[in-house]
Amino acid sequence: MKINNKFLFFYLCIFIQVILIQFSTHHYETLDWDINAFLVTSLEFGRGNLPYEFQYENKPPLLFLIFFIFSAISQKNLLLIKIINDLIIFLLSISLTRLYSNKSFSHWNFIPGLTFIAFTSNVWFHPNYSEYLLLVFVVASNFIYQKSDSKFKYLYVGILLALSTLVNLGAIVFLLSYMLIIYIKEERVRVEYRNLFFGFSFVHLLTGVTYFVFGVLEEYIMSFVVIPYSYTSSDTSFWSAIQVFVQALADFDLFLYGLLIILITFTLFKTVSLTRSLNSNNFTSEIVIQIFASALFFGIASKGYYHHLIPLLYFLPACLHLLDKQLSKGIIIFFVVFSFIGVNEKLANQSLNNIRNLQTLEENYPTKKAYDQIKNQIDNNDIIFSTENILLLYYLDSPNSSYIVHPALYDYSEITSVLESSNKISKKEVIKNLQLLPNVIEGSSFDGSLIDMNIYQEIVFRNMNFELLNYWDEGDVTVYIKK
Amino acid sequence: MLTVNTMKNSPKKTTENFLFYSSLLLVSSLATYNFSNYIYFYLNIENLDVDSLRNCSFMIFTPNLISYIANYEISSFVQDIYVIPEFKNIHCLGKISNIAYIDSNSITASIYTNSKFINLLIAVYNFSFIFLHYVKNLLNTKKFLFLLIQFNTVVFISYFNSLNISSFSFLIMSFVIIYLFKYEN
Repeated sequence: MKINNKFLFFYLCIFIQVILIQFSTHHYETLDWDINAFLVTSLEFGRGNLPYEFQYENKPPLLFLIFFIFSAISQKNLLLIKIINDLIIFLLSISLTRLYSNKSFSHWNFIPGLTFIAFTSNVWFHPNYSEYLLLVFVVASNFIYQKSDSKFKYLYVGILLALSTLVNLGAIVFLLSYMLIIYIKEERVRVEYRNLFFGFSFVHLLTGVTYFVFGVLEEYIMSFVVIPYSYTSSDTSFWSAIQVFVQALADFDLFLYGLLIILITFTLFKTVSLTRSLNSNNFTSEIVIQIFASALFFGIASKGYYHHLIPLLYFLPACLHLLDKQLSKGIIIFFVVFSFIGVNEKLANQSLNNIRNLQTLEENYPTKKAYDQIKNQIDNNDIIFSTENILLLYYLDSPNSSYIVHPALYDYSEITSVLESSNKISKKEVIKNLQLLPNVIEGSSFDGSLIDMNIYQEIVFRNMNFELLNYWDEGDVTVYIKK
Repeated sequence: MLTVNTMKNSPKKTTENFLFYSSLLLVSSLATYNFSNYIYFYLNIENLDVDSLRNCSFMIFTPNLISYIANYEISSFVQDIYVIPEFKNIHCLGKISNIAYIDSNSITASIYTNSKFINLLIAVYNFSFIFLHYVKNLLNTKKFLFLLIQFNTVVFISYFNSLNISSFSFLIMSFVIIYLFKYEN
């Protein structure tokens, strides 16, 4: 009982720390418009449609289902959805306490979780990225792997890993990591492979059948196989992307930078020592393999976006469970403590301010304000074309008139070329949508390469009779409503 | 006594000695060469010879560390230079590529840099010696640490303008690995 209380106390401390960090950006409505695209696409479920059927966003379908559930739980309150993400980060950090360690209480067991929180403290990692959700499934599979004695445990692992790939396709690297773990650790390699693949295939087959029943299997294959293959063919150098991130982290906090370098070095050190004994008892090979899988996740994405590093920043601290000496632990604690001092100094004030103003935070979101003012002027059947701040579609619960939800996707030729060849969009998609004479156009300009600004302005200002409504302070929501 | 004699003449000892003295000599020569080029620059700062400039004969230690040379205030700019496959350009790293006199006591200088090459050099040197010391048991700890500290000091002083976050990361990694071999192995 005493041990449980100790655990609870430390969990509470971790929770408070997560809140102190994550709340620092909750006064911003949009940190990354990817999340807005997830939210808008997720509403397709509410209309009885599947993702990709009428609306396209470049992520697998389970992600949208999860966001749909978040929307339902929060009753479309964006602030609550952000807080749900904070809870996910909290749970992931707790999982680092419970995984790879024995059940007895030790202060040291909390350090990996705290390190993960510190790594994700920068605003780069605050939005509800799909990487957090894929980690939930991968971590669940790790729990089953470590704690279950069932002879079908790899079947469950396969199911969970399949679910993670339905959140973010890059999670396929964790299937590879389990293939390697089975090869190293298990005696009945073939049987376990069969279980793993059966579980994995079953989920994907079920998803495929669902799309087939809805008559949109072709769209599913296009979105789930053809486009991701095309999308990863664009390249950003792995090492320069890592270098850019490390430099940015050093600029943000030197102790965090030091901690990252120490963890990377320790991982490489353990990898070399693994060559002597692969079959160690303390999860060394599992941790090292998953760290490399996470690095591969960042590598195959080839985009250099920081949020692709979230799995790596989760698994790197796990290797702290492999440290033996008190001196080493002391050094790590020193870095973690000073990282938190730096991070809290930067973020805690704003977080406390946001917590104090919790009631008014959502009311001040600019798109929400715009929605509150125009909702009575818009009919359910109105055609809406959004080119900039697509969150308006979410509040209005309306689909975009274009098949593409996320405006940035117009600039990815590897995506638009596939959509064009499948007749999902036209070559001049933006002009086509403007010529459809939408009732509402959201966006003051079009930040893409598919349309000339003059053409856009001519259509909006001369040919149509639009009323311009500007919202507001930050000038980032502009809506044209047909008179 | 016999054992000591055998050790002295063993191929391992010979390799060790060769490694230690050749590295020591090479890095010392590099430091001396760079320092002599700096002295040459210091003595001729008021009247720089274009040919010497073209031949990369003027070394400048980082103006971030030394901002005044012989009463001249130095403002510096970096200019990347290819060293692969133009290997002869290696000796131009850290040297002055161009100089302009602003007034009687201030000059601007462009300095040749190549971060990738310097990072590669740091990584290869440090990790090779770590491998040789901890895996192949070559060089005693004192000699090993002396070589590592000497090399990194020379590189960090001579090529400061070529350094970036990776250089510092490789340095930290090298010392973390040494710590890990000592305490966590």
